[in-house]
Amino acid sequence: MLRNWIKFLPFINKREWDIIHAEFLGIGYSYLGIKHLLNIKYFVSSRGSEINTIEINPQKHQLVKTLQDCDGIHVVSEKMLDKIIKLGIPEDKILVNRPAINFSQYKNLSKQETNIPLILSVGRLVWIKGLDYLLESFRLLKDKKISFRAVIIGDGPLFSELQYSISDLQLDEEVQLIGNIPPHKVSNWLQKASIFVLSSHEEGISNAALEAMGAGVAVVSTACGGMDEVIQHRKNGLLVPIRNPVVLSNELGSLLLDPIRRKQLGKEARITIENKFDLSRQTQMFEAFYRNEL
Amino acid sequence: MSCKIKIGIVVQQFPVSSETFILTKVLGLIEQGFDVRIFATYKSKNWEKFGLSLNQICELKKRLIISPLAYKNNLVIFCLVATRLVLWNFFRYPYFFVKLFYQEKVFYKANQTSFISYFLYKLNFIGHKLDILHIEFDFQAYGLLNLKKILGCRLVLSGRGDITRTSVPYLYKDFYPAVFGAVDYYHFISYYLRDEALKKGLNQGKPWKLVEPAIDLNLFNPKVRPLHRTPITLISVGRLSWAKGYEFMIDAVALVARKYPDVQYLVVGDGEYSEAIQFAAYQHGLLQRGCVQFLGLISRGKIPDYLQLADIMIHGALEEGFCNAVIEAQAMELPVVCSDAGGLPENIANSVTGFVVQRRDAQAMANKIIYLIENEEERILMGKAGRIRALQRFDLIKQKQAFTEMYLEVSQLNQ
Repeated sequence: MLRNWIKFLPFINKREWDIIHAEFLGIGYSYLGIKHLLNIKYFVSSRGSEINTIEINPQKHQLVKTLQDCDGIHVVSEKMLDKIIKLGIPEDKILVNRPAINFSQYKNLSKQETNIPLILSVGRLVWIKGLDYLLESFRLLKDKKISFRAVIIGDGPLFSELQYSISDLQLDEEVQLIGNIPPHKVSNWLQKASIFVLSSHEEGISNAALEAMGAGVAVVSTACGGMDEVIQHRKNGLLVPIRNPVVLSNELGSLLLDPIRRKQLGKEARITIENKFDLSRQTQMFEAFYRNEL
Repeated sequence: MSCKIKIGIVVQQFPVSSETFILTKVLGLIEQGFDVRIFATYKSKNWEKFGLSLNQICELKKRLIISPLAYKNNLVIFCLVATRLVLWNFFRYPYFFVKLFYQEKVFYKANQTSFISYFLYKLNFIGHKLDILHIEFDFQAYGLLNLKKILGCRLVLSGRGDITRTSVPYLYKDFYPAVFGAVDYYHFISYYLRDEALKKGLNQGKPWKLVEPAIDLNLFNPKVRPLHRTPITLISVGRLSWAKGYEFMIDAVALVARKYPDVQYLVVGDGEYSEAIQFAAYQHGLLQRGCVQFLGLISRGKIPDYLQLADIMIHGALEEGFCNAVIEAQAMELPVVCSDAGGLPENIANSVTGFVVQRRDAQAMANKIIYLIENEEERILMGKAGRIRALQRFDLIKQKQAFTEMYLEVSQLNQ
């Protein structure tokens, strides 16, 4: 109780807020009291993890209450919109605003692929990213004697487990976990990468995948969450079913052997990002939404 | 004769439901007349679920030495306990105290770990005049190696799971040479683990003994399962952790459910990976249809009842020392479909008491499950064979003898 009050203090001091926007659903619940306290417009963003696994979440009713009580909800994909409507939330207070990246940062990146094609994956090392399945598909690639290198960027609770899996699958030579690195170094890896792979079981829309597409890398992604709203299969990337290492490795394999197709997919991906997922579009949509609510 | 031997058992927490083998081992040793001390960093609150008698609990608590680190959350109590420990040992055992302090400084300079917590932790060991220090999980040994010199005791390590699965060996450069150099005697629970240790540089000539895990067979009394029972019930028992490979098991069950939609799968246990596993069941649509049921933690006494309900045990671990749950399943006449991780191929007899499939291969596991569903006679025969195997190989009485022999052997080693 006391902790709650201390948490709210910075907001009470300055009464000039028009809108308070909680960027995640979980944090949205813990600050929900402030809406009633100040009688203020209160928005939440639903970006992923909480809503993705809401069916098995023991705090489900608290999250639903947050969605019901707030004045506006921002979701990152159509898929998530459907999910929230199914929870009984009226559609008119929900804004679908897909994530975006600053395309100008990626516009001028030129590709410098390595001799042995490099597969890149970026994300936190947590179960929902499906990295065990990714490693399994790498193993299948190796069994087919397709040469490749893979780098997984990111850190998380499964680091030592994945390291164990890599040596258990005898992939020490091919696959590297390199932990967290600063953003500009990620761009360097994107330049070198031939393929970007997203093996998640569930996502909102992966920013890492958008960045890879912006850099002109061919993306192979599971058809999780809102990814099918970004990627059209075989046009600007490849979609594979979730939890299926066999199909994933087949698609990776065919792409590894076909540099021309990779280039084509990368080019199309870049066009998609420039037209639909640039930051300017996202900002405009937010502005319009806020003004409308006030 | 053996009553003079004083053994210190080192564990992280005591007692833990996923480590009941430690509990049974300690009780056995006390019975055999060894003077046992248990050094634990933390003490569990609930002792009821282990089915101990009041006498046993008293006996255990008398021998349990908790480190001051257990009180870290409460600063006042922590300071009191720590001060008492420091003063007591300083005046009572000044020689050991100074020795430890000096050794700890060396250790601290080399590794930059927290000096105070290591020092306080190790102070607990002083003054017990141990003959044998037995660290039950070899990956925890690194920080405690200098105790051997200070106390002048023999160091025994248990290999109970693949060390490389934990992050510890990656933290210290000289982990393997230091640990393998200091150990006097190695206890392995499976041949697999010894082979792995040899690969990492363990000396061939280092004395060792294989003592396989065992269970109290009196607690497992299978009744005849009714014939032509439908639906078929699968069961898994274990901590819901990454290492147990539950995601692949759920995938396998999903493949089975394509052919037998009414198949039931009971998951007994709890753990940090439960969200991932439940979500896998949800994504396959198994959770909504009630095919998979998560039963949570179940007290040890009730486990046989659930095993009695089931027809097949599945266990798809990615990394495993040996797995007591699989022994228990065999003792309850359940055929087992398990992966080839760690000591599992030694635990069951492939094609006799169950099937061993390649780890991470959901399709292979599903095929064997379907085979057992379709061949009732073989399923029952395999179950019976499992019971015989458990009686012959995994009897607690034999294990107690083996541990007694082991400690006698250790005590006769030349320093």
